[in-house]
Amino acid sequence: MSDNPLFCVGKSVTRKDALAKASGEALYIDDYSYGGMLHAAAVRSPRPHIRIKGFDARAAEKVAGFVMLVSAADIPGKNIWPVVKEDCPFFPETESRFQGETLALVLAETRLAAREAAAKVKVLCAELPFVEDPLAALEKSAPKIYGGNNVFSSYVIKRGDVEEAIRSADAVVEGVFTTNYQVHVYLETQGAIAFPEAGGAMTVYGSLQCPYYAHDAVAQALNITHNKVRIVQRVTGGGFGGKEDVPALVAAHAAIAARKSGRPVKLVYERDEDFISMSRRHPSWTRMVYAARKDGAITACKAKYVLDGGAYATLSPIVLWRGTVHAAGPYKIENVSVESFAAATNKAPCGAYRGFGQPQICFANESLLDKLAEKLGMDPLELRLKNILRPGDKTITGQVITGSCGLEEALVSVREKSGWAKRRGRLAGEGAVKKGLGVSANYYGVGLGAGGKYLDRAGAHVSVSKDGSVYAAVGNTEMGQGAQTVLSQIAAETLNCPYDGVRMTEVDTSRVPDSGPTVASRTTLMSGNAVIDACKPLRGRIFKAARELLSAKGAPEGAMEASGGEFRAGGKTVSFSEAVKECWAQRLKMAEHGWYAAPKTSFLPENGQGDAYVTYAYSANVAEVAVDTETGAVRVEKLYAAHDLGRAVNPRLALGQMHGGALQGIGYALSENLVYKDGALLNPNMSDYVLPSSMETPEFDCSTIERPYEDGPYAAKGFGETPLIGPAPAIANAVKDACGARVPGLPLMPEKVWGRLKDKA
Amino acid sequence: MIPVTVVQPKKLSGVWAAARAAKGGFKFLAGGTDLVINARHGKNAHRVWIDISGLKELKGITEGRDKIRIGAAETAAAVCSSPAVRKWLPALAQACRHFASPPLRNMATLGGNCANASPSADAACALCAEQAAAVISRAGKIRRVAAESLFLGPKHTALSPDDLILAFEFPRRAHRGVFIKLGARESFAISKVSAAVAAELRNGVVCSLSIRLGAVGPKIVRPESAEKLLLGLRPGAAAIADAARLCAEAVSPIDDVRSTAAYRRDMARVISKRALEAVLLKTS
Repeated sequence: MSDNPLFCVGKSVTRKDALAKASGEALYIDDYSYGGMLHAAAVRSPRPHIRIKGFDARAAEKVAGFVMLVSAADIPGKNIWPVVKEDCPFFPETESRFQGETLALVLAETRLAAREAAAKVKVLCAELPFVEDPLAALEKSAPKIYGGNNVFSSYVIKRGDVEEAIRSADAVVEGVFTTNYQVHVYLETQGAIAFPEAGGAMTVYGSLQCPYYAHDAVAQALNITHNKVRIVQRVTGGGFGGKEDVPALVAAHAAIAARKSGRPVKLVYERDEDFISMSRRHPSWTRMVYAARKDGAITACKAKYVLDGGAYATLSPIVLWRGTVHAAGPYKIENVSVESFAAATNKAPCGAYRGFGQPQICFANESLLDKLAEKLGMDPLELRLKNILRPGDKTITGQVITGSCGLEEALVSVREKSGWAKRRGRLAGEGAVKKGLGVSANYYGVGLGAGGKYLDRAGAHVSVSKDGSVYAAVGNTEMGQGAQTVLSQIAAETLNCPYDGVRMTEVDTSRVPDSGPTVASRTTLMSGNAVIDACKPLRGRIFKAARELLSAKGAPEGAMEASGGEFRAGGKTVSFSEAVKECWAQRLKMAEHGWYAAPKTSFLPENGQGDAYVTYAYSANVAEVAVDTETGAVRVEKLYAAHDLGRAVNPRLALGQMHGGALQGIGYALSENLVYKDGALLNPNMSDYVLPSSMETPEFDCSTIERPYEDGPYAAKGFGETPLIGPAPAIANAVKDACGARVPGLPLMPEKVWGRLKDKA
Repeated sequence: MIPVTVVQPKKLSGVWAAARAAKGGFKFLAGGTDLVINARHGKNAHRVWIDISGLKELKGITEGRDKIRIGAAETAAAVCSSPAVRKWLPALAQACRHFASPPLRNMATLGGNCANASPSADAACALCAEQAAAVISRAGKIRRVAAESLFLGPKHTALSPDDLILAFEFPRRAHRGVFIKLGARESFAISKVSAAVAAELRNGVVCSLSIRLGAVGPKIVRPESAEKLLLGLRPGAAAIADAARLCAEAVSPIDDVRSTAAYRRDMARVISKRALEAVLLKTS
């Protein structure tokens, strides 16, 4: 973009939202209140699978402040929430498929009245047989809740001759691995406020990641055209994938209620409602086989991967696809067979959570790889180094890896930092406490790839005011990950304007066209490129005006230095705002739309071959753990990680992503355990769904490796999800190193480690 | 959450008047850390809460000639930072330090922890080991009972709705004590197993010993056979291991969302062993 050295990209500038969020100035959805506004509370299904016969609202109507009940009959449009498969209604009409599903809403003058009345609505229903276990759901005899076989979707990847490769291998290992749910536990629960507007239009404010999903849902629910719907994101208190799809349902519910009542309606979830009914990471079951030659070269990988999708398909097809494509790990393997299934069960639908189908399968393949190393008598890190993808190698879908691949450097980095060669297998414990080291490697396809290619475009609108201030609007959201900061840096760098002069606000669908979802670590790449696209013509005008002003000040013609919001030549200086003023004086167009569409992918679903993603981010982790062999308690003492992210636009934010993601990975690995019994969720709260605290935070030693991605903005690729993926298998491998117990199911609760140690004894 | 009326009497005598006035029943509000959560989940139908948290009759930690007295409305934070408690009631001081999280410790009271009668209540477990007597008032009439006798089962006490715990009293005696818990997290976790031990040693011989185990039965468990085994001994590692096994035999844990019965039983052994070692084998 520029011959000048970068002045803003690559710098750890202060987050745009830091002060507002730290001071309490930031306004979240529940901070807003409007005249005439009603409050909504959900009436939820009491059992995992019911036939709905109706509602008895007589007791609810007696609650002071009760206004009305809203249910399926009140939907003006099509009663299907538009996600991937279109199988989920906004409100179920005759059948509800999971305990906690929203069946109807009570509207009341106060929140307290709405909740009290909702609790008094009797759901008249008959119980139906239900299925809780995903493997049981795939059996012929299972109650059918989706299609004829309870399969939401299924994929294959075939390459070479896997059976022959296994037969002729020197070493073969096999294992079955399971993972449990993971809940996002964003600090702000789900919420939306809907406003009926003149002419049948509807505006919805919400806490969400994907405003355009909500846009589609509200238009469909109300049967109105897209130009009558406006979705405005409010400051969003965390998402992690949990505000990808489901906020569209919350927004549609509020909009349906606002349409019926003719008044603004606020719908904000309680924490337990959020736990019971909103999305979460899919539990998984994987059977996997690796085969290798004596020298450690992996010759085959065979996997069957099953996800527990819950009651509706929602995002399961694409979560499953991502896991399937990455199933064999970041290794070059000639013979591969992967089959995968997303099964329907009578539990809340699973959806997106940072990593999106990869943490599950990565736990399986990276655990099994250690088993292979053990069988071969090789060091597990060296085994990985022997097999990893390097530029020019092909993935299991046949995609050729480009130069933006720093996996080898990442593995070498964690090997050196952790003192791997000297310390693994030799760490001293004390008393009942044993210590160990474990490694994992992974790669992550950046953006939606072939699984969601029709959505993979993004817009931006950049406007330069006559005072020299810049407003940039994009279609991807800030949810705490730092999007506004990074995109402002990209705008500042491209325009040569001071970083402090760029302002961004939450996404408003009336400002920028449908830019796809804020997911898949795609925002820096997609919106970043769209911002550059919008800035380029503005840059041309501003740079030309600056050059003219320099000449007018007597600077010699020729080269001009542009950096840090200033233009310099021959000892003369023109500021960005002076140049902008000159553009306005010349009546130039000072606002532009930008657009970026991801390059085409060639993946074919029939055989699972072709380019699956435009590029990949790579990472390696080494975990150092202490295991109390009497209690089974595992403590991560140190985590070494290295990430190839193309370029760190803001190194401090990149480090924040690494620490935060890793800590979520540690929770996933050790303590986050959602418990269902007979179709009912038993721990919908933060006292029994145990997140890691500062006490569980290890010492981090994280670093970035920058292998530039030429199609990325300033060579950056996305990487926000990778920090969560690798820690769990690295921890499990470290536990094995420490005490000999291999636990094949996440989370590694002390009960499980203790059980394994007892079995061994 | 249901709408509630909070009554704040200025003096203890006002409590009894407020109680009489609350026709549909009432609850005492101290720290509110259980009461409010339960009310949010519709578990408590009482619409009048009598706030006792500010009553001076329920406050204060005093060191008498032969007694330590802790007001029932003293918070966990106040208890664990009190020099008198640290000196005379070491197991209780440690329990209050490991109790919940700092914000909850600033709110939750000793009396509330007892009256809520959770089998996993950390402070209640330590109160029993420290041989606390509860000073209880009903309509101004005062009685003293062993704190331990209040617990009948999970969330079930011998207190009647208008019984108010005013304070806990402890014998002033130099002794060793320890509290160890095992939760799902190092801090801010509900105990899966906890152990409180208080012991007096004379020339290395155990002359008094109380062991209490939390979260492994319907109420706080007293493993009497383990206590008896060690009394009068100059215990070594082997005797402690035997006693710890007796502790595991004394418990009746359950499978629940937090853990399994089998794990809790074995952890009752491990945690009591560690607690006994810490109390009985330390040199000072």
